[in-house]
Amino acid sequence: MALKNIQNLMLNVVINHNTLHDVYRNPDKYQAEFALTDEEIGYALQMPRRAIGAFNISLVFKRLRRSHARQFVVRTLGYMSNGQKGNVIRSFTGKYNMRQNDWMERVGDFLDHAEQETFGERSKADLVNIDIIAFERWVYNLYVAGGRGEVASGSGYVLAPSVKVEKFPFPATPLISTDTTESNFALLNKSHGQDGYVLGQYVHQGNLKDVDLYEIDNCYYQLLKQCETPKSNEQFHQIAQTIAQDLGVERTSEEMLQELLELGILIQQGEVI
Amino acid sequence: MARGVGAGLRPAFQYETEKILKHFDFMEVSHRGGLELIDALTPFIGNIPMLLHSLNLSLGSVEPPPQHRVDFLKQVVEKIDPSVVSEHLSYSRNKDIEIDSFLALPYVEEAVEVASANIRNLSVALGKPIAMENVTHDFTWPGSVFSEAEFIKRVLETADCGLLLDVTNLHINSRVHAYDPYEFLSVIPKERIVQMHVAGYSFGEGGQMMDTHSGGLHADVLALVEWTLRHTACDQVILERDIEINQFDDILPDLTLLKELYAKYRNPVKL
Repeated sequence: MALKNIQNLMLNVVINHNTLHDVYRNPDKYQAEFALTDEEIGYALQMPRRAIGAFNISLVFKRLRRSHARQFVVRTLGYMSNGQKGNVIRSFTGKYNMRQNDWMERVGDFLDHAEQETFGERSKADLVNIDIIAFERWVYNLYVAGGRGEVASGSGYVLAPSVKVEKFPFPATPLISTDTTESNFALLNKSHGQDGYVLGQYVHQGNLKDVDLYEIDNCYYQLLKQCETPKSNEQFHQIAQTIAQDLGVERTSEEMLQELLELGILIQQGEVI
Repeated sequence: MARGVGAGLRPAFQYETEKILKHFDFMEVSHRGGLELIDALTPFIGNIPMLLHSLNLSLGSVEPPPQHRVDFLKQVVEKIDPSVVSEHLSYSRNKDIEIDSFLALPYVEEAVEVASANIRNLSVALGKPIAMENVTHDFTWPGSVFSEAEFIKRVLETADCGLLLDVTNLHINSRVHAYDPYEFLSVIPKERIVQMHVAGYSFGEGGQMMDTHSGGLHADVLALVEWTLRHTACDQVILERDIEINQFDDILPDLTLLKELYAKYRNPVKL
């Protein structure tokens, strides 16, 4: 018996759902590829396919728990039915042969895969899930940018490169929440189509890198969207006052400016006139 | 020298130094390679005996553990001076594949030889006795020639190492594979059982038992703890807890339960 070949086969099988099933379909191919004896491939075919399949899925989740990636897919996975979750994980391991725990590099692939494979029928529930995936993709992209987002040239008050604001078709509070209970999902379903505004801020302290998420109102959202390009002092106050007035928000432009500067959401680029 | 009942440091209570020193007889340091937790150990080094529990050497792999990992572990050993270093009797690595779970070895002579050589080499490299932990498994290689207990016995004797008996893993395996855990224990040389891991388990959606290291110790697991304390000289009982912890007090009921059990058979270290 060649223990090395058996270990090689087993590790290839437990990381990839397709390989697992292919061994049973094409034993000759695997016998040759892994240099197994007749006896060894015979034993391989006696392996309990279901138990290994369950191990395959549990391994994906174990790796995810050990990875920083979990926070970027927690809602997508959390709101899937058990059947959907099993299917998407199995097909994901078949498509991306994760030989190491490289979940962090695979988050974007996973979200794309989940969207294509799991929510392909475009029912109402699927559309809700697709918008949840879009939110997680936005958070992940902000993380990947690592606070190095592009800032438009020019001088004035401008959104910090570590900050993004976006509008999503859900109220922000249940969307931001990592509570993936049925009640929160029911709330998201019920309120789907209602605008919510989220501010994401990339933070980096020591070894800790993260994206902090905050609910903001439409007033701040519109103002900060405008500030994606630098605004002079006069422009800022004019825009802020107009938005506040239009939306009936009792907040002065000076209060908003102070708050946004203190929180590092707006920065001064060059000389602000 | 560590003896009594201890547990691992967890981020949820790592700053509750006073309570930890009051209630832990020793501390088990789980090690995967990061230095963050090692830094967190500073208030405890020299104030409480320590054990080291390694997680990623894959001593059952035909390829020996990567030298840099052994070197790193040696640095940790030098820092915390554990009386025993433990690892898992399993494999999780081959070439460029590495998984974050433990696969049971085929119960064959070649696996005994491979694991034993790796264990002996590790013991020499670290200058410490090694204890190997029995792992849970839902499947094993069909070509095995030994029972699980016989295989473990052979490794312990060939490698001249101890057993970190995970009683929860034993209980789960005995249920999944329908064997008597006490028959299993009757095969293991009693003097080789040097440490115990004890944890709560839970049931998955399909009813399968899962070694989740949750709170609440089941009676059948505690019965195995008691058997081991009664029939062996095992003197290091380690509570494993990884979920449902917000503060130190969350692990206190299980820790107290184990200390009461320990005190039935040994002189307690701390009351």
